[in-house]
Amino acid sequence: METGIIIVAACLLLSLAMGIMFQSPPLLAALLISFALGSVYSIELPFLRWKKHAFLAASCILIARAMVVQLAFFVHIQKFVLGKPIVICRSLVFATAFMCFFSAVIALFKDIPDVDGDRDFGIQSFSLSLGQEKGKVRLGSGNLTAWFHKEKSNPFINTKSSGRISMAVAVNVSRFEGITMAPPDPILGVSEAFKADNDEKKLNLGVGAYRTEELQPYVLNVVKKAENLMLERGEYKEYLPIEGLAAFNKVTAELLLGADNTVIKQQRLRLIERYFPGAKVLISSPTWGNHKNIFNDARVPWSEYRYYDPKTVGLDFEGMIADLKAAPEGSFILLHGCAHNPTGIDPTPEQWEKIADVIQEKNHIPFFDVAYQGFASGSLDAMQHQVKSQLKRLARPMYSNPPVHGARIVANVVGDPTLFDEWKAEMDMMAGRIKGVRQKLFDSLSAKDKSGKDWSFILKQIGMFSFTGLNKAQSENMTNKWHVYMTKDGRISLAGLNLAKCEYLADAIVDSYHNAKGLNSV
Amino acid sequence: MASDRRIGVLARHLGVEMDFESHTATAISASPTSGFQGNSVFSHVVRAPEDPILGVTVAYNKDPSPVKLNLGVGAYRTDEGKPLVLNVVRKAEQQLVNDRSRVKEYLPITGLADFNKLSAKLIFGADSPAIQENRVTTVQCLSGTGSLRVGAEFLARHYHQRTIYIPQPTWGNHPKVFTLAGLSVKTYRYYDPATRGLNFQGLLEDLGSAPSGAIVLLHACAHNPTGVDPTPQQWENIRQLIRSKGLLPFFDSAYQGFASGSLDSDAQPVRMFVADGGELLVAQSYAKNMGLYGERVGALSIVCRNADVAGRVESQLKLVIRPMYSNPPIHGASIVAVILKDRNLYNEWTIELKAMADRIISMRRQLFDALRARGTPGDWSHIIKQIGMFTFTGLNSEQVAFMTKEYHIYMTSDGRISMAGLSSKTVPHLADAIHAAVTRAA
Repeated sequence: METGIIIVAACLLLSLAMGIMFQSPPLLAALLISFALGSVYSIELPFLRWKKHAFLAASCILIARAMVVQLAFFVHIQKFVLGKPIVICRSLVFATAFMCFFSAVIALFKDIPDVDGDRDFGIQSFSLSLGQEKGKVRLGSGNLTAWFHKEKSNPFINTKSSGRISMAVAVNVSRFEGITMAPPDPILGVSEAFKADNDEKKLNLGVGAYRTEELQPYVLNVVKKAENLMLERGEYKEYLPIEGLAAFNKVTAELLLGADNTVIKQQRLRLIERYFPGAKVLISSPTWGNHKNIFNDARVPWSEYRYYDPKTVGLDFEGMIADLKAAPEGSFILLHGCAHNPTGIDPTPEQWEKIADVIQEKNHIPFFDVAYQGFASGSLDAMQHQVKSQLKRLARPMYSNPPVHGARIVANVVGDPTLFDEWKAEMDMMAGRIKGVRQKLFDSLSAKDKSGKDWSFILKQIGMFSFTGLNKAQSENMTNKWHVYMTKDGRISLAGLNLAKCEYLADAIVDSYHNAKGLNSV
Repeated sequence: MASDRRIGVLARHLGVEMDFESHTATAISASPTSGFQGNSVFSHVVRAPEDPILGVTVAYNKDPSPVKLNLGVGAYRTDEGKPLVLNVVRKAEQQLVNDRSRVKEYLPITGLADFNKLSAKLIFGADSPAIQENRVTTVQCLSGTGSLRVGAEFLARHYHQRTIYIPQPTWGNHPKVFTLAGLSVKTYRYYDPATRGLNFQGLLEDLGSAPSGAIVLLHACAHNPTGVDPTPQQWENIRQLIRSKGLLPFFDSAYQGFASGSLDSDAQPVRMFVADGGELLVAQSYAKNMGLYGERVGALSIVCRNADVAGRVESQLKLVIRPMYSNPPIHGASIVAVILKDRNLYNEWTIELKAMADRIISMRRQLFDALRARGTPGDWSHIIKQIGMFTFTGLNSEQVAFMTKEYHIYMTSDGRISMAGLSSKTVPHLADAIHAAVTRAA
């Protein structure tokens, strides 16, 4: 940088010295004006650095090269060198006019090669505004473009010289400018809309998070006990192994399969958290909204098997079996362990047997999504080291190792007989509340709806969710008219409902079902 | 095709053979035999090698020797060689447990809002213009690794230049994180084995020849694994070069406060890049400076040109996170928020943090003195010049293997030792081992 300054300063002094020595006012004037124009063009000060602005930059170039150079030098040579009178001749007019045109073109073309750089430095060139390609097409033929590209190496046309010495970065265009606003998450977005609603009758039946009868979140007593125990013990917070807390993994497996299971006894069980790329997976129609995103992001091709029958608001068992049979051998089948999300519709034990038969017959691999976590179990044999090591290799570059706190709570609760029994009791209580709410809702619907529609699917479905059979328009009516927040697929979370609000909800459902615009059950 | 490239990378990473024509992984093509007959559909799955860094601890645990020393993983140890949970952390946890109104509901996809705001203030400074102008978006992630991965996935999807330059050498997990996220990884010269310091010329040349707009990974302080940091003047030169080439800086800040003992000093390089008004990414980790290793607490911040862009960027970050793990874990972030919010706890934290940093600096001094006392050949001054948890000893893999075998010293084969794993009692043993390795082994 110092070299640059020295060169510029030396040239400036030499040229001014020449202007003075030659005793030619027009020459000196030309040099001084050029110096002034160059300064306002490049120097980083308030109101200066005109190169940042396309019009001002173009003006500088035009004045300097088309006018000052032509006119002043003409006068200098004509009068002070050749000693002739000053006459406006055709060549002068032509030269000036041509250079005006030429300068305008330069002003527009000069910044094409480095639009990115100008963007970074906040220089709003014409090329940046118009876009590189558009600039070329609008203004020049191919020849002209090529010529100006060569100009880049011309030392007299150097748009980037002194400009880059200054380190201020004008805050203009972001390199993330082209990013669009993503749509809100359909499920979590419901809770956000609920929060924004001021109506006192509002009801949040969106997210599957358990609420008490007072519609408050609930932290299990066993969880609090476990946390207190952990605090008293003063546990460390060291990194877990990549595969996580061993005690947690063990109790989880036992919970899923039962401690007596021969597979666990022979320590052949392992937990599979991911699919291998290239394998195809079949998911139920419908399924949890995030499943498709997960498989898309993991680049796992997926297709759907029939599951929900809107006519019966129940399981389309024949369709499911047909689709499983039609799938290519060895596909992965995503199954909800229980309490299907979002429908709440589970196969009966006899239906599960038939599903298992088809899966075995087609050599499919079942992938269970149990209770909205990502666990699966498989009766695999001695491949456990290979599989486990590959899973670790996926986990390490994603999050290194898993969080310890929650896993410790689980290990403490499930691993301690007393706490385990207490846990079961609390779960019975929570499941019981939901069953009670289902009953009350069913009773309210049956009483209020005089159309004879069969609402018993509410009792037959299981788990936190119920697929009401309401379509998008009807679900929207629930929200807009009744301030009942739910997902657009007609799913309601019974965990967010209490006995006190069942009648109100029944009114809303009956009204939406019969009166809301849109197709009745698709 | 981009998806083919990613699948191919993933497959190579797993050691699985890919047949692109049919898009099936031949290594795990569905076996016609079912699990009942004893053959597995995963029988062709290749066993992956152990993670080199965490594998050191595994080997250490297996060793029955009473003098064994674990200098592998960068987890802090007290002078008694024990793990440490900070007092402020225990206090914060007690406060959380005692608070009867606390719940365990799902966090938003972007994490705990307080935690995010406080984390941004911690790294950028409370008076940072970028924060005041709402140009920063911060999302809670799974510690440093998670923050890097989410940031890299975001860039791979939305940034026009999908190449990232990482220093040579760098943390072993960096290349894998970026590759699996979909970026193409190149390196720039960083460590000079001859001086055991920074190869500044090489760094400038390599970054100078990077394509415009390329991403550059920078260690905010306490470079892992070398412990070699640029001086403030060198940082300024790096900043000018990066800005003039239009490169995008991505900071990995895992040791703020741990390197020098001062949270503000250690954040200077990051703040320098914010002060010039430009854009950048920062991955923050609370694993070391708050001792929250296993809780996986971290944050990704993206500083944008203006608030509107920041809003859009945040919405796209959510699309990366939701299919990955939906929303982040609540416990660790709550602890951090409690500490950063409370003036007294915050001050106590800075004191405990400085104590940890000071102990490490003291270990450096002791090791250096011990080697000099033994007359170990070579210049060992880099031990006290380097900064942070790690020291790049300059020992080669044969010497390391020798030290493991004969002296039960566990460290990574690149010669890196974790100073945090040393104590006053064990320094002599290590010095003996190094001395023996240098004078006997190749």
